[in-house]
Amino acid sequence: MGIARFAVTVLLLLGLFAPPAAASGFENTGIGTYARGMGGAFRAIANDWTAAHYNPAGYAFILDNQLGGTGGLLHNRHELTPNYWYRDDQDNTYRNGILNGSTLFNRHDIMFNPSAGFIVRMPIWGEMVFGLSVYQPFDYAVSWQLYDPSGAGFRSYNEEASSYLPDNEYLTDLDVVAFQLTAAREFVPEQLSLGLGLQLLRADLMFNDVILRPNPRSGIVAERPRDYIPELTRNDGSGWGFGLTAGMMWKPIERLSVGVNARLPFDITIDGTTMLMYILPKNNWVKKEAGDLNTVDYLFASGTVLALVGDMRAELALPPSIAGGIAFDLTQRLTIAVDAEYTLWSQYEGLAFTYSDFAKPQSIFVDSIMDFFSADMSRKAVWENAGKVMAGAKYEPVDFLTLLGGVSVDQSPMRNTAERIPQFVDTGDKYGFNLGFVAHVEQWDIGLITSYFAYPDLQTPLVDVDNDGLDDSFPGDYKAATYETVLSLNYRF
Amino acid sequence: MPRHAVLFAIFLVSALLTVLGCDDRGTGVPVTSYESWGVWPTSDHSFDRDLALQLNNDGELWTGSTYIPSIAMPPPTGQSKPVPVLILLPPQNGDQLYFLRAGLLELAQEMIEAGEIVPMVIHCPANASAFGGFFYGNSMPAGRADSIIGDRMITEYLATRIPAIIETLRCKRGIGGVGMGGYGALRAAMKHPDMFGSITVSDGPLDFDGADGNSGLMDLFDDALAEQLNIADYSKLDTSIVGIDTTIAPIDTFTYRKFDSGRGLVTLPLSRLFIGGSLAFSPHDTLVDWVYNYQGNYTINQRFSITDSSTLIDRLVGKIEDPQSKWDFHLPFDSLGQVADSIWPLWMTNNLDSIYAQMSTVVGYGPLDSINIWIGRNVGMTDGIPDAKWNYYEMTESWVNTLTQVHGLNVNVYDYSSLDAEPVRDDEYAYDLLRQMLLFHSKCFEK
Repeated sequence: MGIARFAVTVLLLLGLFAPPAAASGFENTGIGTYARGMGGAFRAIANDWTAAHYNPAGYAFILDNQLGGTGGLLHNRHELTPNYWYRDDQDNTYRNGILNGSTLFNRHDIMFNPSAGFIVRMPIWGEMVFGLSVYQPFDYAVSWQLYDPSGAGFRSYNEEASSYLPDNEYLTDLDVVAFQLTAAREFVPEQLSLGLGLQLLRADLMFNDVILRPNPRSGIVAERPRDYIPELTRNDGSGWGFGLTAGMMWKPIERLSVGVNARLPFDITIDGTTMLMYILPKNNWVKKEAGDLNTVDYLFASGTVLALVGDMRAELALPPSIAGGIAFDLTQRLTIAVDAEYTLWSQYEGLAFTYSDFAKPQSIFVDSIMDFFSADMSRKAVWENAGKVMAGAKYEPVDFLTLLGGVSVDQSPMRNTAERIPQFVDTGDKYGFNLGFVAHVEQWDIGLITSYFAYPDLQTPLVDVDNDGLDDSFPGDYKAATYETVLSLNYRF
Repeated sequence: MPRHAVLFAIFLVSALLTVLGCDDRGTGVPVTSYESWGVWPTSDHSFDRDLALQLNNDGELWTGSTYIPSIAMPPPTGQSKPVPVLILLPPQNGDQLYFLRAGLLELAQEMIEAGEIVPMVIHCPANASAFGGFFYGNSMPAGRADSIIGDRMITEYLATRIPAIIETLRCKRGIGGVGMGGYGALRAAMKHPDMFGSITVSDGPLDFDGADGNSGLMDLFDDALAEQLNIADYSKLDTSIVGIDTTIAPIDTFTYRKFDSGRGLVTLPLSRLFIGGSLAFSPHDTLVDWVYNYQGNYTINQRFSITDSSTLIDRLVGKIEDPQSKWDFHLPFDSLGQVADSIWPLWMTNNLDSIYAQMSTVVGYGPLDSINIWIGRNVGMTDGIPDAKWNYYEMTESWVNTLTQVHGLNVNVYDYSSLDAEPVRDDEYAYDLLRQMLLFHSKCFEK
């Protein structure tokens, strides 16, 4: 059992240090080289440790013990050309610090997405197969720099504002790591098996945003270009939750198998800290004029950078899903598979942040207007349930090599909403293309898969759905693409 | 082929594809520098000998801000393309940042990028700091402003202090202003009819005696005196601007002691207006024989003074210890708010209608005949009272009628009354007004 202890240790470490990746909504693009290579059509095959994610029932038909790990290198190559102008009462556009008209790229980042698991067959209830695995069923990461008063020719707001800006002012970094204990058993020998996975979920969230808020003051203090105040939010927190996954695999004939899987993650409460940073307008003349009127007005013309630190709580509603697949051995060396998945993204209603316990500001002027500064500016997401269809094939031209190929069509949960923000770049139904191989060297399987996800181009207008004066979208021309390379190593013993 | 060679080849190709697909594109955020365009730092002031005797301006400075479009910049930033020039004069109390605070920089950038206006240099000189300005008038204490604006401001100030090349044709030069700046723009354009091809102004003191010859600024005499009623404590006076002698006890007659200027911007705006105007139009020393030695040093040989006036305000401004720089002035009204008969005609000589007539005689044609004119007019009313302050609406209306009905000129009148659902009051700056002004000049430049 030495190898089992080693495996548990490795898995725990992977879970603790696992960083982010991307897919429809914020679902992971996939796990493992076999599954990824076949476009995700793996529920009726499920013959390695990654079956924990696709179909736990597959464990029951795995004869060897296994220890495996994968590492995904994911690269989002998105583009956004902001078209985020404000309009006056005569329909003239005017600037607000957004880098309109520039083709901007998400921050360059090749994210490493590790996962691992092991399988062991044990003489319990006849004979059962157990597994422990760590992987990320949900993860998403993207960051942008889209607001820069100097770059946008908007220095009159506060000529020093740009020096205070982070380079990831729009950011989502969401990881949901599942520590999963899986058990599976054959109920009809070589024909029917059932599997169940119990998940301990760990969610880590970082979410940055820039919200252009109407200046709460009046008169010259709030006149253009001071009519909107940028609020830069930085939320960082984590939480724990639970989830269930269950599956069934049926092999009515030798060459055909059918797999069904359901996942039920429960909501996770994320607690952490928030920092709300306000770069206030700077205008010495207005400051001088306003200083005679009201000290709060003086603050709003002083160029002060306010950083308010407090507690943050957010409810992360994770979507349940159901899926099924069929696999058929066309020949002894060629297998094809088709899967379909339906994810209840309507359960997700956005990251509703609640702020509390802000450190008491040193300035009484700030304190007197804390209701404005500490307001919850969360955007509500209106997503819809979405389907996904996957098809793939594996071919073994020689004994030491398996070639894999697959495609997927992934429906966007945001397909009917105009509330698009750069923190979740999902421009529409997307297509995935996957190609790779697994080499077999004695007891080792070494795999490499390359994937490309094509998104449609999208033009998003400026919308304020709830008419609260705050924009619910970031308008502009969106282009998106995702590249991913997955490496795997599996040891059979 | 050996097994390992096959595996190695596949692995190598895959790794190569991965690397090629993941090159670093950066963020795409444009890199801009302060020097590449925008407000040009070295054009923030110029020196002029005609300012040597201007009050509160020992340095003979005229400050300003200059917007330069990038296309007019030298390579590699721009293309050194010659562009038209526009001068914008601020109202009373406006400085060189008046229009920039109102968003001129962003507006010009947006409209040029959108192709709504042609690229142009926009120079925004400050109004004089003492009393909020001198109507951009010509006198020694006022600084001979219209001579500078209508002559050297473009051909010398800008030509030597900015890297852009300004087109030399008259039709490529425009001038505009708001409030007192509107008066100054018209004054400079008429006194130098060969300098500008287009002019845009909005509400200001454009007809001193109003349509009926007995209103306009004349209606404000009582209001100016009313500002003075509670002045008694001279220790509170702000002496930082013009060196008021606070050691003299107040007396209850209409003298300099009764006409305070020191409270300044908020409490005595009309007083400041009339003091500034008086120093421009009815200074006690109407002509000065002086010799310029070097910067800040001059010798006054002789002064020619007004002798027939009962509204002299003496020892109010200037350095008491330096009689050379002490300037007295005559108000256009007496202690009862009645017209000062010997002084008011000096003001009326500087009324736009009078300047028009004077210059018609000088040049032999109407000084605005070949200038494209745009006038913004605040027609807003609150409780039956015009939102435009100080009879500016009536004076603007009267001037428009004079131009169109008396002189038969074509004037583009733009009526406005509100901005973003808020009423426009006084000479409150209107962003949309500036857009219209830029559009008008651009069209004229393109002709």
